[in-house]
Amino acid sequence: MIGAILTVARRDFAATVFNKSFLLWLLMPLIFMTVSPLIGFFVGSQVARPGSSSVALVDPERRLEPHLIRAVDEARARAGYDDLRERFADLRPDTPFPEELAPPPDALQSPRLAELARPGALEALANRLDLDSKLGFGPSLSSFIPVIATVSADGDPAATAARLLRLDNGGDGARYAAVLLVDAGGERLVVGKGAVDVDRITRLVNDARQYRDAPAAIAVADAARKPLIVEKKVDRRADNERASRLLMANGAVFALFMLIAIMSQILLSNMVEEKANKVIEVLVASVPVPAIFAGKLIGMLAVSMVGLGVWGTAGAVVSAAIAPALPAGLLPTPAVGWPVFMLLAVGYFVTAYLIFGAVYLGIGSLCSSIREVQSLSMPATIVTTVTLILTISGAGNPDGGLASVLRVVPFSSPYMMLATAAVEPKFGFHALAMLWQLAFAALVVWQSSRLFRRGVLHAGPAPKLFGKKG
Amino acid sequence: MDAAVEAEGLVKSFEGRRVVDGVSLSVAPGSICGVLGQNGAGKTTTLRMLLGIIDPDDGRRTLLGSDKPLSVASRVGYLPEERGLYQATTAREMIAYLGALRGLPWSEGRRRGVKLLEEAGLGEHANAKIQTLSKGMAQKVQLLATIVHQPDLIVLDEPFSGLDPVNQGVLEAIIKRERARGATILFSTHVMAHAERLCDSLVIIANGRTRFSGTVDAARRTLPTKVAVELERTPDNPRTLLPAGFVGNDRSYRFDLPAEGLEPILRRLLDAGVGLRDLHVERPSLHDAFVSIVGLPADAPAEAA
Repeated sequence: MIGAILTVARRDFAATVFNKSFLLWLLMPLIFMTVSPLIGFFVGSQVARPGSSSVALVDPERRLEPHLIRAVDEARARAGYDDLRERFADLRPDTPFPEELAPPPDALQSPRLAELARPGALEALANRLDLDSKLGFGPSLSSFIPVIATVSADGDPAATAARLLRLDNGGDGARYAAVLLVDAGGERLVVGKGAVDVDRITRLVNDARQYRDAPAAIAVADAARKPLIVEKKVDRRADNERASRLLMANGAVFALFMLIAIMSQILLSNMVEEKANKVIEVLVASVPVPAIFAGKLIGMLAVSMVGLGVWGTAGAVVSAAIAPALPAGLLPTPAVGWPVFMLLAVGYFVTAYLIFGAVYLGIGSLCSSIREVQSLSMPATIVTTVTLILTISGAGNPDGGLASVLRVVPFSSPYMMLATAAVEPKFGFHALAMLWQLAFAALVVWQSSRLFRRGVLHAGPAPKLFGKKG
Repeated sequence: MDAAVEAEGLVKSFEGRRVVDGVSLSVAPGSICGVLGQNGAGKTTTLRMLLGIIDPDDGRRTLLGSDKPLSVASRVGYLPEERGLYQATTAREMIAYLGALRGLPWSEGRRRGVKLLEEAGLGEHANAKIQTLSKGMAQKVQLLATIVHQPDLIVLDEPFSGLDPVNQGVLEAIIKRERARGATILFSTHVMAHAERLCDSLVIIANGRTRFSGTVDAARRTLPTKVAVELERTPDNPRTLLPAGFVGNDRSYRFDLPAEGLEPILRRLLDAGVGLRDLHVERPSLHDAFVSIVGLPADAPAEAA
């Protein structure tokens, strides 16, 4: 049996590698490099998602809350007013500037600013000036003013802040980028992950302090100058490294996916060609069907290993040549380290290849023409594409529920586990995952070989999943 | 010694249609056996079941003493009806590969492949890709790949189809040579001439059933030998001179050779003074026997005489 497997594998390997089209296949990485900017854009949007510009306000005794709300409202009104003024100047450059758009006094307690902060006031002004209010007020209102959400504290405010920022698990999945704690000791801004404009928040807090001390508004200048205590709980450098690793995880997933897709298609066409040229009957008469099946899988696996070897060597040579010219730390080290990561990449490639290769080989054994290939492989292609999309989504948040599910589902497990290896320094569960994937691959190989026997010569009973015969 | 190939009551249905319906056969070691039948008679399905390519729904088969055909695959060579070779592979590598599938080392397969190609007049094409060979050449390459590992049993499905008369002769010579080496040969055909020249025994299949099993002579003997006589003078009463069932008139008559032989009839004709101008004994051809056997009702198997 082993001899038969190796004989079939040897022929398929030699027939593929010693073929001119194999050289084209080896140039595949160049195509990857061409499309990678697009992938990077998509992946980048996924990776940038953790954290947001929202700021949670923890103010159990409401020392600052009403004043901060007012400060935010008026800041929004001021931004909107500035926006209207610019728009009027842009739309009617020849019209005298109306008095209504004269810059309001930038002082606190301005009645005019307070009036514009009322809901609908800016829209009414835009209508009166015959500006198209439907255009909205640009990005200044929605993006530049942070969303302040009041959150009730449970117990220690500091513990509440840690919970809100999810500092205990690295900050992934936190809804807030920062927490503003207000107590008798003053105001503290605890910054987690994501984009936080600390200067802007500081200005808002200062405004709020002055509203709070309104009776002596003029005299509160000293209080306003009291600095806001800002604590950064997340190491930005570590944060950046993690983001880079997430990018790497997505890149690895995509590369693995493309390689598996290509190899599966080669297997599929190989099988259809074999059926078309009738060699298959001689094979089936000579060796057991599972040996043919395994031989074909192993033969193409060896082909892909040659490809990986060539690409790996070329990559190492190029890296060594250009490394001195690159800034230090441009390429992050995977969480498990490069040697282990590369070993895991090869391991997960093998398991993914066996799973998807067996599926496609089974499909190929049922097809006798390219048209049949197109229709029968469609469901498998949809499954693999959905797997890629979900895995890239899951890889953006390796601690999320989606990632956990994808690690278990056999069709996505190799991809998700490789992505995990890029960001999580855990080793033990890779062995467990590979065992699970190999067990599933064996099941798929067994089931597909039954399909193969049935499909190639219409021999044996119709295959039944988990049936005894066939 | 046990039969090289033995089958009893093989049955196979596809999609509810019974394609083989109780085929039985036995092939003696070192002999050449022909499986004859019309198109669609079930020959190919029978051979596939014998080889273990497909499993029978019912019945049993043994190949070289084993009821698991694939366990003796290294001692078997098979040429399928639908020929197939890798078009981008050279003739020598193709032969070596098919030999390797049967357990022959690649290097030995290459060496023997070149030798066989030279013997078959294809030595200069040993390193040519299959796609550059003519159909007849490719067919020869496949036959050589079938025998490269010197199998004990060679199964050929319609080996002569598509070959010109010269190459048919070459193939017949190869088959005889392999039999001389000691191999058992089982081949299917619907061309009677090949079977008549080559076969030690025959199995005739019709509608999925074995209708005849025996030697070529036995098949012929399923039909009576015909005798044609031409007399010098018209007999007054031919019924008293010729066996019952004769046909003819005036001086020309045909009748079946009776069991007691020709001598009593000739004596009667000479005694009657009608003279004997000409006499032919016409032995039935295999073609006649085949047509007769296949034309019998399905439930009336022909018996070997």
